[in-house]
Amino acid sequence: MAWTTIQTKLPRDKLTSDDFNNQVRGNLAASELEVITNVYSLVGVAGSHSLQSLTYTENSASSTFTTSATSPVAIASPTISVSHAGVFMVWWSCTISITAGEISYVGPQLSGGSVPASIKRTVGTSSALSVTHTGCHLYYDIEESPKTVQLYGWTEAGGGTLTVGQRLLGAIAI
Amino acid sequence: MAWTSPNGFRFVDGDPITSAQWNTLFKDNLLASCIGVASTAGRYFTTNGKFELSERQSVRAYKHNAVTIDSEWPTDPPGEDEIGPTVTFEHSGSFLAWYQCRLRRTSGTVGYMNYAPVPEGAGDDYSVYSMAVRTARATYDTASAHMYFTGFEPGITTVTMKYGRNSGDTATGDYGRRKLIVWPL
Amino acid sequence: MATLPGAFSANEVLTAAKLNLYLDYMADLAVASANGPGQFIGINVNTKTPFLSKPKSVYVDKELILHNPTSHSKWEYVGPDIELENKKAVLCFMDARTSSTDGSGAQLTVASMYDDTNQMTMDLMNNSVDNLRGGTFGLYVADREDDKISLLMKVGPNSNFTIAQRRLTIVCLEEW
Repeated sequence: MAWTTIQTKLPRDKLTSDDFNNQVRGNLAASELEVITNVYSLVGVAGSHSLQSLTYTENSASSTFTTSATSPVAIASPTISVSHAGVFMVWWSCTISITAGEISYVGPQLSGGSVPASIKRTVGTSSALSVTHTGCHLYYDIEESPKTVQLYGWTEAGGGTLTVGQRLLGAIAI
Repeated sequence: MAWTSPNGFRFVDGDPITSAQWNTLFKDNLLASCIGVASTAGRYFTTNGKFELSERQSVRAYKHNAVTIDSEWPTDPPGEDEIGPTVTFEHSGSFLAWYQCRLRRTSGTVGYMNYAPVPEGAGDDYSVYSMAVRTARATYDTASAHMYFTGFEPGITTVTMKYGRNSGDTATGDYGRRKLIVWPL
Repeated sequence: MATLPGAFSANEVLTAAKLNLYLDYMADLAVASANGPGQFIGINVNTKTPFLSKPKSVYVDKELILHNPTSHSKWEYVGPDIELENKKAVLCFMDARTSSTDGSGAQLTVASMYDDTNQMTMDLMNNSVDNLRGGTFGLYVADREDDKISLLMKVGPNSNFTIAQRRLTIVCLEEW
C-alpha cells in the first residue's frame, strides 16, 4: 500500500474517520510488523516509505565437482534465490584443491547474465591440499529481483584439475 | 522526527482527540517509525539511540592489481593508486567489516603476511593477529576474515586495508584482488 | 502480539477505545524498542514483535595443538563460546589461524555446547602444514532456548592440528 502523507492538524481542524483510515491505519498497514513475515529476516528499505524483508538464505552441497576448463563452468549445486531492492551480500565457502602449479577460481554468477562469474569475484588456491576458502561480494544496482545465485569453477591455464568439495552459499539483501 | 512514547497515555470518551495529540502521537510517531524514516531502496535499519532509527548504507571497495609488500604491518602498497581498498561511511559507533584478498608469502622467507582493516582513529586498539587475513603459505590462496568494530565516536569514518609482515619477521608477500565491505551500524 | 486495529466506518466517531487500540499497536513498533545505537532490527514473526539485533563477537588468541593418535576422529571444543540467551537463529562468522601435520587434518565448525550434533553446516579445513588465517560463515539454528555455542574441532585419525587466533561473531536473525 502506498504511503499517505500525514497532515499536520490545526486546532480548528476536524479529525475524521477518513483521516485515521488513510493516514494512520493505511500507513501502519505497511509497517514492519505487517510487512516482515519471513523468518531469518531483518528490516530493510524497499524505497521511499516502503519496507522490505532482508531475508537470509543459504544452501549447501557436498558432492564433488571437478573441472579443468579455463572458462567458468556451472557447479550444479547449491543455488539460492535472493529477493532484494537492488543491494545484496553473498558469501560462499568451499573446500578447494587443485593440481599443484595450476590456479583455481570459484565464484558466483547471477541469473540472467547480468553479472557473470569473474575472477574479481572468486576465491581459489594454487595448492593441491584441501583448504576451505571463503569469499564475499556486495552486489549493487541489481535491477531484477529475485536473482538466483550459483557458483562457477574454472582453472587459469587448463593444466590441472580443480576439485571442489563441501560448499555453502549464503545471501541476504542489505 | 522525535518519538513520543504512547505508553501511559489513554484516550477517554468525552475527551475528544485534539490536533496536538494527533500531531504528536500519530503524525510525529509514524514519521519516526521505520515506515516514516524509509527513504532509499537498498538500505537497512539500525538503531541510532533511544527511540531513534537510522537508514544505513553498506559500502564496498576493490583493488584488482597485484602488489608486493616487503615491510612490516601496517603499511600501504607502493603507488598512491594502490592504497586501500578504502571505504568511508556514517555510523553510530560500530560497524561490521568483511575483507578478502589473494595472497602468498614469497617462498624462501620466514613469518606471516597480514591483510587487515585499519579504521582512522583506531590507534593501537586492535591487534593485527585478532583480525587479519594471514598466511605463511607459498602458494596463492584467497582468504577472508571479518571484524566487528565498536566503541567509535558516531559520525563518519574511513577504513583502509593495510598490509605487511609480523614485526621482526623477514617475510615478503604478494597480494591481489583486494576487497573490503562494511556494514555500518 | 500486535494486531492492526480495524478501520473506522465512514463518519464513525473516533472513540477512545479504538484510538487506544491504535496507541497500543504503535507502542509495538520497532522505534519504541530502540534503546541505544548500533543494532539491526528484526521481527519475531511468531509473536509479531520487533527485536534488536546487536552483533556479538568473541576472540581467543591462545594457540592450541590438538593431537589425535587414535584411529577414530576426535571432537573437542576449542572456543571461544557465546551464550545465545533468547536468540534462536544467528548468522555466524568464524575465523581462525590453522595448520595441519600428519593424517587427515581437522575441521572446525560452530556447534551447541549442549548437543554437538547441532552444528553449522560449513567447516573450516586446512590440510596444509603452512598456517593460514581465514574464515567461514553459516546459519546456526538453536534447538533449545538459552543455547550456548562454541567452536568445535573434529580432528581426524592419527592427525595433529594447530589452531590459534580464533574469532566468532554472531548476528541474530530470529528470537525465541
